[in-house]
Amino acid sequence: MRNMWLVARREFVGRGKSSGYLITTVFMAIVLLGVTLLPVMMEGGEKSTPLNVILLDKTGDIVQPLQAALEAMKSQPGAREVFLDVQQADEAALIEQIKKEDRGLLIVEGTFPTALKARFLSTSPAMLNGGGVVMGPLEGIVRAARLQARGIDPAVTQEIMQPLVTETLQITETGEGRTSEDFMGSMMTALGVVMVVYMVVMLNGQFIFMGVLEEKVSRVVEVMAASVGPAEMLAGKVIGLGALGLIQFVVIMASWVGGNVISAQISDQPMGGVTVTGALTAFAFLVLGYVLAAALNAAAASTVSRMEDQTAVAMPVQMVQVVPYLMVVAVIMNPTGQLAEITSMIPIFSQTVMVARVLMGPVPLWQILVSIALMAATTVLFLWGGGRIYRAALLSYGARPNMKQVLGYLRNK
Amino acid sequence: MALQVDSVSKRFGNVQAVDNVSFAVPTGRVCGLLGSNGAGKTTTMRMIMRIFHPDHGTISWNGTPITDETRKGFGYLPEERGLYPKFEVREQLIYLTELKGLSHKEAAARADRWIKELEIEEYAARRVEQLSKGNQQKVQFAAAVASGPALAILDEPFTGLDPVNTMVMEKAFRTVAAEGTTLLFSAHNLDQVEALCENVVLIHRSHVVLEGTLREIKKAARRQAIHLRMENDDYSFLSQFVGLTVREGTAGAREITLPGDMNANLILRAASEAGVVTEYSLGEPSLREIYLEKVGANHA
Repeated sequence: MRNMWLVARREFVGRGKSSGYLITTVFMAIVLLGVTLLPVMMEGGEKSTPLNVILLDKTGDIVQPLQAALEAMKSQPGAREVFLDVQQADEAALIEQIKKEDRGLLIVEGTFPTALKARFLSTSPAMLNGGGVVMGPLEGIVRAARLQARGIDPAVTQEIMQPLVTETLQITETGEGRTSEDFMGSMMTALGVVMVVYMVVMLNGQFIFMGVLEEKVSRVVEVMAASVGPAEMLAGKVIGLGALGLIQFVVIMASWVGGNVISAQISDQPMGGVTVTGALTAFAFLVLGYVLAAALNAAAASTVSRMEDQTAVAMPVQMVQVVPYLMVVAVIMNPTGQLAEITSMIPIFSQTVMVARVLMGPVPLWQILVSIALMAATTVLFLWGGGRIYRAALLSYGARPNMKQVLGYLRNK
Repeated sequence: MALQVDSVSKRFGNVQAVDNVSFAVPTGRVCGLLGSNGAGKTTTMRMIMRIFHPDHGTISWNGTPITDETRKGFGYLPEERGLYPKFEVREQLIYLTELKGLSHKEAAARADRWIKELEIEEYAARRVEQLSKGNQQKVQFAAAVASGPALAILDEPFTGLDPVNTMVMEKAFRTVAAEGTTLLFSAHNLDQVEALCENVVLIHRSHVVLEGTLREIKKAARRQAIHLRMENDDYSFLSQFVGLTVREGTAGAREITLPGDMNANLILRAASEAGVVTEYSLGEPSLREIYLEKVGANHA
């Protein structure tokens, strides 16, 4: 037992000091912070930048009402400011002008209001996205003018043109109504948590693989075997690297949560929260998923005697770990669907699917508990089998064992 | 007997690596395990360390078969380097010594002692991969003996060392032996083995062909060896004697092995009559001569 803790300490300190671990942790934290903040900051940045538009009004009827409509928009909260520069130059000359300047060009032609044609031109895709800011009011002006031409009272027209208040709500089992913004928030939360769990499990699983491989190839394992039993050695590795994985998880999640809090404040949108059940479920699957990955990686690496064989062995192991993550998007889009319910009960798949389901909405407690129990039983099975292969293969050198020999390791006591 | 290897065999596929090998090493003795490449020395050592299990036979320590628990009291220096390449020298020695059951403080004191004994103080804070092959070998030796093991199994501990470092290691080797550790080591430098060992085991083609103390082995050879140099380089007079084995030694001298019952004075007298004798010495056969006789010059 003492040696197990010594191995755990050595793995924790040795790997924790390595530039690979530090760089990966900091890099992932920065990436997640960037992923959460960048879209909001860019959107916020665009909103705060005035839209600079040249207006070429070939009808002569649009300038006044459009200027008035844009002026009226200024008082609305969150509205983007528009600088309208009315010009009467040649269209081709104006197109040449906007090629040199970061501006939009609105060309209005035809007969107002019956057969009006409007074009918004710009060299910048970002500017084109902002075209709606001037096209929306223009549409309103044309429709109002058409109604007025039919003899409808302007007051009635204004009433007709009032925007419709719409709301889409998901009614949950508790009777709570969730808006589409709430759904998006939950989706982002689920995606973020599952992604971090995935990265931590994969990365630390690979550390186990590399650690076992390094010990075996450098023959340190022969020296270690004279002092430490294989079970103690494996347990020490799993505990030491697991502790590093947990620290990594906390750091990355803190970065992600921090990014979300800031972006929620900037965008004024609700942030997807995590319930206690959601947090506990994610933690349980993080630990179980990591131990399972550790057993799988340790067993696989112990069968490799030469560095050049590592890819052939590592690839299938990584594939097994990646498959459950391919389900995540389908589950998140329909967390109460049959696919989600079935796969959340299948061990290995459940480490992502159940976490995503729980974070997307309420899941019956019995389903969560059964899913965790099945995953725990599978993890114990992998630990048992992986431990046997590790113990038998660790001190075997030469040609890589075939499947028959590996099965033989499982049977031998 | 402290270490007893009894009728041990090991086969890898079609290759019989070790065949019915038996030998014993008394407590506190230094025993050299000799043999040509592929003779079965490393396999035997790995079986003692339980890295492989023998197909047949038993290996015991102080009369009891070696278990994982017994093995914790042994030090081991593998043939190939067995250190963490990215781990610092001192920290690694402390760690490996702690794993043998010593407290951190005691392990640190032992590590510092062997770093000093092996004259690697300036490398103590460096990573193992930054050291030369010879210095890595010294660290490996320190790792094997720092815990003060009852038995140290050292597979070619002097490999990769320059003459100065060889002397440093030999001194450390004698210190370990003087402190009561039983040592079993393999080497190809027979003069070195003769200088360090009390016991010798010679394995040839998977079998033990010679075993015992150096004294017993030399006595059992029942013959004498003459070192002779003639000023005129004419050794044709030796052809009158039957049963001699003559080899050319350094700088044209002759190493002559006599049959056990032959009077060495006959050779000296004949040499004096044939010319001026510039060098003459009479002694027991060296370990090298005995080895070559048993194994054959082709396998030296």
